[in-house]
Amino acid sequence: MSDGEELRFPELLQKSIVDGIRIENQVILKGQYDMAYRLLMDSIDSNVTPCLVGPPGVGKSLLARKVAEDTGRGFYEVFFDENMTPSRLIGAFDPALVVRRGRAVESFEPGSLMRAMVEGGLFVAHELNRATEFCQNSLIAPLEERHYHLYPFGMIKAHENFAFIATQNPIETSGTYRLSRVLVDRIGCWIRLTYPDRETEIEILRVNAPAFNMAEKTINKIYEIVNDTRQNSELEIPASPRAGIYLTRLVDRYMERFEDDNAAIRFFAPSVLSKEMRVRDPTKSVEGIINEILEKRLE
Amino acid sequence: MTELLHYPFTIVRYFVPEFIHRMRRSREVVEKPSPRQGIAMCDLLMPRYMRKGDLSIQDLVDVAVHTSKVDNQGIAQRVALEILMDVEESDSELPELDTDALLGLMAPRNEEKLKFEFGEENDVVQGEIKPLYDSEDDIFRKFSSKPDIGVGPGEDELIKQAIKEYKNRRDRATRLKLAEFLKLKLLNLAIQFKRKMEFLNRPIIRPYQYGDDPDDIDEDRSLENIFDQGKTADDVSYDDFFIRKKEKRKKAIIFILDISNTMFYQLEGLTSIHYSVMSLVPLIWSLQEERYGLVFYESNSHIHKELHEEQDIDEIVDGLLYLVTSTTGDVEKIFKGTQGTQTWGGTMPTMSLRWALETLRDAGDRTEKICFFFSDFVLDEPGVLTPEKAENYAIIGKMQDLGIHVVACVSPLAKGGVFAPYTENVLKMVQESGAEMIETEKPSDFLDRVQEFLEQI
Repeated sequence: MSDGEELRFPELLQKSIVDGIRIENQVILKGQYDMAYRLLMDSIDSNVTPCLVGPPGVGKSLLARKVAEDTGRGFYEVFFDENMTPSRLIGAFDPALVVRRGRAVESFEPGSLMRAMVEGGLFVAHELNRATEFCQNSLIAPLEERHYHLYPFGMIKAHENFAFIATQNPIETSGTYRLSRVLVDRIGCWIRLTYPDRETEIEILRVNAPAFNMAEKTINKIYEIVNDTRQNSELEIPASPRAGIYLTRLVDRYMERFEDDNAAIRFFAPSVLSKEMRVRDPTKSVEGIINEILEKRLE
Repeated sequence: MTELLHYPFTIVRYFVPEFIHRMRRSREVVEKPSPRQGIAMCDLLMPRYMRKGDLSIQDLVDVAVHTSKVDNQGIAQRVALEILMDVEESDSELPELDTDALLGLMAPRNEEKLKFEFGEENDVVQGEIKPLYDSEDDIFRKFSSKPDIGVGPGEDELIKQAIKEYKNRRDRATRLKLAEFLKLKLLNLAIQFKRKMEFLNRPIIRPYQYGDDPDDIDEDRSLENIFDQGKTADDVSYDDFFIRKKEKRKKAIIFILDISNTMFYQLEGLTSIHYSVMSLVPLIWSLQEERYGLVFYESNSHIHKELHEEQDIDEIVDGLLYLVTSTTGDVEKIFKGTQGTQTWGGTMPTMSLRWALETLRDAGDRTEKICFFFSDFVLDEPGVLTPEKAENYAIIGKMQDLGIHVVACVSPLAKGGVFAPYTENVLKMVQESGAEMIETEKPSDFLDRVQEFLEQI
């Protein structure tokens, strides 16, 4: 990197700082999403901790973000994995500042959970069942009693607007830890999200097509292809609504390059849909199954 | 469900405790609801009531469902509806006691049989039952080979002679003595190997970063560093501190052990099962802190331990040693079962390989995934590759594609005169599928090779 580029970066970074990320596309609150949204709102109003459970790409994070936006709360999120430590979650003392000032408030670098607690934000714990036991234990007091004991300051009481939403993925057992019963017991509301119904998903695809002018029949074709992956018993993990959105965007954006929508879908679908799909039978390939579906739907 | 409750407090006061009570009584609910769930139900009903001025029956069902864990939501819905429709509990009755089953529980336990009644059988192959190898009529004895086995310097011959001497003795006490002796020697080897592996995971000293646990700060090294730089307290920055941490990547391991007929053929008094178990025991013991699964296969697959299951390592080691200190007839009885209708002893690794693939695939992206496959690799008839057999290589190849390391732990007998025509092509294909090939001739050499392999990945 040249000196010039290095000098520009701080300015660019300063320019890029925004108060909060706004959701760009309309969130479809229909069917299960309407129910889930209302349950999230009710849970937060009642200080009950909710957990959204569903496969990847069904909109768990988006719903949580929507709640933060609609309630005017700051948004803090953490993706749990085995490298996440309580120090990252809660915060830690800067040892250099401790040498100078001792364990004072100024020496403490807060983690995102502590920030959300003190500033009254919405904290979203993604993939909670990938949190280590050490991290799970750090969540118990903030979830139920809305406080955290931080040595040497003492008990930190959460702001009254502090709210907590967890998400977890039922299929993804990879690297998961068993949630401790004490933590499970403190999650008061379990909201299951599955793949949306036809009407809802088609509307989701439509609002995510950049030009909003995609032909109805093209959107229907994309939906049918995505839905066929969910009906296919050979697939362990089918295509998610997110994959459908990506396919819709690409087809919509580059349609003119192709002779018709079938050709565009044929071109993009294998690359877009196969990224997260998984077959049960190791001798079969995802690409083969996608091609079979495309042949059937685009004949 | 649309009936509105304008004064719902009486029914809520009845419904919530009754729901919790019935869920606790339900035999289908494993993790019983705590009082917190009842509190959460009331908490969630309140905003609905405040918003609408009434509650519907559906509201009561909804909170009952959504405050229950996802696995229990179907049961919760049924129980809630039963309460609201004033129906008796459907599943709280205690089951009638089966007197035969009770008598069975009181019967004396057959220790040997119980020890091996683990796992599940699948893919049962019907057909003619092949006679098992009888060591007294060893047609392979005339073929000479030079494999040797040992667990460390100076002890090779001792172990080898012990196995040869006691292998065919029928008295149980001698066999148990042999098992005890072998276990002692092999675990010594395992301890050495484990220490070497721990050295590999030596602590890494690196500058402190935000998010590190201050408890991990190496105070001596940090102060030394600060003094060396001649910094005062005002000049010190966080990255002048060092943290000491053991960086270790978690492993998920599947051990596959071939217990088919050919594994029990002996050359110069030793069989492939001897070689495999002698190498497998120290390896599995030294990696016991990792997540691991164990499966045996012949015509059927016998899952001995699932990846996430907890089992006493001593029981596992004893079970493995039983394979080398018992007669093949005893082993056959255990795996064949008592019905006598299942084929035992064939070579059908497909289900085990598939299980290993599926288990490791789901074991986490940040996990090092390894499959140790102990066999003599007499998998195919020379020159005949059926689609079923071809699938084995496809699965090994697929494992490589998914980042799963496959280690083929090859019995030295595989390359012997008798087996060579059967294994030559198989070993080549396994290697071409991407597997690491390590011989199990001597456990100490085998472990050294495994160590080299683990250092590389």
